[in-house]
Amino acid sequence: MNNDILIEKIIALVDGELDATESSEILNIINQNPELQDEFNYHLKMKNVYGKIVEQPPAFLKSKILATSGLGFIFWKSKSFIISSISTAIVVATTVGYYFGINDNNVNTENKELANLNYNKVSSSIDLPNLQDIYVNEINNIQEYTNFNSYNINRLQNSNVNYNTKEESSENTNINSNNDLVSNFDTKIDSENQLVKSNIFNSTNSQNFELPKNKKYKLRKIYGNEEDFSSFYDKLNIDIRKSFANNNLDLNFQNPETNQFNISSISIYYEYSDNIDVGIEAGSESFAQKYQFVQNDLTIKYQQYFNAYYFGVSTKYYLPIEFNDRFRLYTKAFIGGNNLGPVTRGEIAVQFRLNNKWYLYTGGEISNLTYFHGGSTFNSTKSGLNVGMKYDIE
Amino acid sequence: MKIQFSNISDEELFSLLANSKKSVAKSAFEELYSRYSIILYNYCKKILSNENSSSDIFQETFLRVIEASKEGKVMTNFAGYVIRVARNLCLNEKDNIRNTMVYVEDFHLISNQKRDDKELNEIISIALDSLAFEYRESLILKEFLNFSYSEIAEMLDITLPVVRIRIHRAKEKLRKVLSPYSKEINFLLE
Repeated sequence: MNNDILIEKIIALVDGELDATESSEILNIINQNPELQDEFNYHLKMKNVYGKIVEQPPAFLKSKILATSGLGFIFWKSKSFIISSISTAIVVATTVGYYFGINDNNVNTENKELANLNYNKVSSSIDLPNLQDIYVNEINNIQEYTNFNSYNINRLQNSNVNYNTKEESSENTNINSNNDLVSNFDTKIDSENQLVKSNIFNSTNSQNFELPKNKKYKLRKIYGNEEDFSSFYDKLNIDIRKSFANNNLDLNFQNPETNQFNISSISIYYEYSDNIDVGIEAGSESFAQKYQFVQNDLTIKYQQYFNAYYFGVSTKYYLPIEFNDRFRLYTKAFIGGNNLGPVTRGEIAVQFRLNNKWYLYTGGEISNLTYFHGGSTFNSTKSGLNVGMKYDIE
Repeated sequence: MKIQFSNISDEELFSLLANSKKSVAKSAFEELYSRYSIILYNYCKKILSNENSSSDIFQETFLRVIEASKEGKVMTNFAGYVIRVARNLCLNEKDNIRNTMVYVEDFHLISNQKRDDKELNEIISIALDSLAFEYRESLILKEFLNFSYSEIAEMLDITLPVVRIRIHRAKEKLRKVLSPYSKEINFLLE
């Protein structure tokens, strides 16, 4: 028996393909030859190597086969789930938007009394936030309001539009019915305002007005972010997002920080399935508000913004609609909070795959902050657009 | 009476895939899947050396099996059938994709790096890539999927001696390719 045939037999022996007689014959030959023993041991070792690298198929493949073949049912791919998700999102967004006054032209002339002062809200959507002990200082044309709560708030006031006499305030009430409050209000401020202005700030310097307890403002923001791996690490992706939103309140900051309503965020997502990502998100965002009220016979109007850091969990659902292999449409829901209260956010966006690692996306969103003050609960809603990028860790 | 699917033959399970009761068809599929998913997945993975493509072919194979059942195909050798379907799909796929070539000479291990089965898999996969298709396929069917020589001969429609020769040559070639990594392989086996 030549060497090649012997090795072939040894391999067949290791593979369990020889019958008893042949096995016994080959084993005898091997026992008398150290080189063949090494050969035998090598093939035994390699058998062990091959046995160690048999892989399990990813679990999601079974679900995909079942769903595609029609034998299985995956609730998040079912028509009813998709339709109900989209319908719910539309209903919620519409309700929230309507109720909290996404349209800033809705003028509310309701009079309220607070700290013995009357005030007129500019809009039902822009009540004041839960600030306390506001101190007012005048710096050139800007009145900077600072509060001493635990979080930082910058308040900017445009002096050209902020004060009116009481008579003007009355006019405003009339004007309100014509939905033209702001423009009329703005044009009635002149020399009298100087007087008014000095009065109010001279008399109240380092003193202050208690802000109305009932308040609102509008938020807006933007957000954003997807596929198949075998380990936890391989299923992670990082999402960086930036919003380019303007507050729906038609604010008029004369300040370079006007764009502070933008939001920056970073998220880490885990690919739970082909269609669902779950993750955590942290970032910084701004809120804005605008209001007017009457104090010391003056109507005061101002607008402000402040920043807050937020944190929460979010989930993305990729709609089973395929444009082509590069685009995917998804919806996203976020729930979390900042130091004022809980934040919720809904988003719909389209994602574009640049390569196997990088993705770009853009979409629209609506978010809501709920906060509490003086025993009351308030909401602030904003909406806008966002862009971002996603990086697959693999 | 509840059906014990685990006691049913592959061929009977295949026919049940077309059962009008969806729950029965689904259970039959799940039993076949539990028997053949690892075999098929590893076959596709080792043949194609591409995770995405092998996942696609893996799914497509099962879908074609279900379709064949619904079309009333009579099954005599399910294992052979399913491998042949996967084989044909893999051959088509190989024509379509451009494999990223990694030359064995360029693959270096870092001695202090923590190693695991995944790394061992990479070494073997790259070495398998260096084999001619017919040798690689026979070796995969034998070593990774545990088919006997006679089953391989039937699946590939070749004779038993040819199977032996192919496996022998495949192993010898693999041995040469892997010889620079014998220390690493021994280390990974510890």
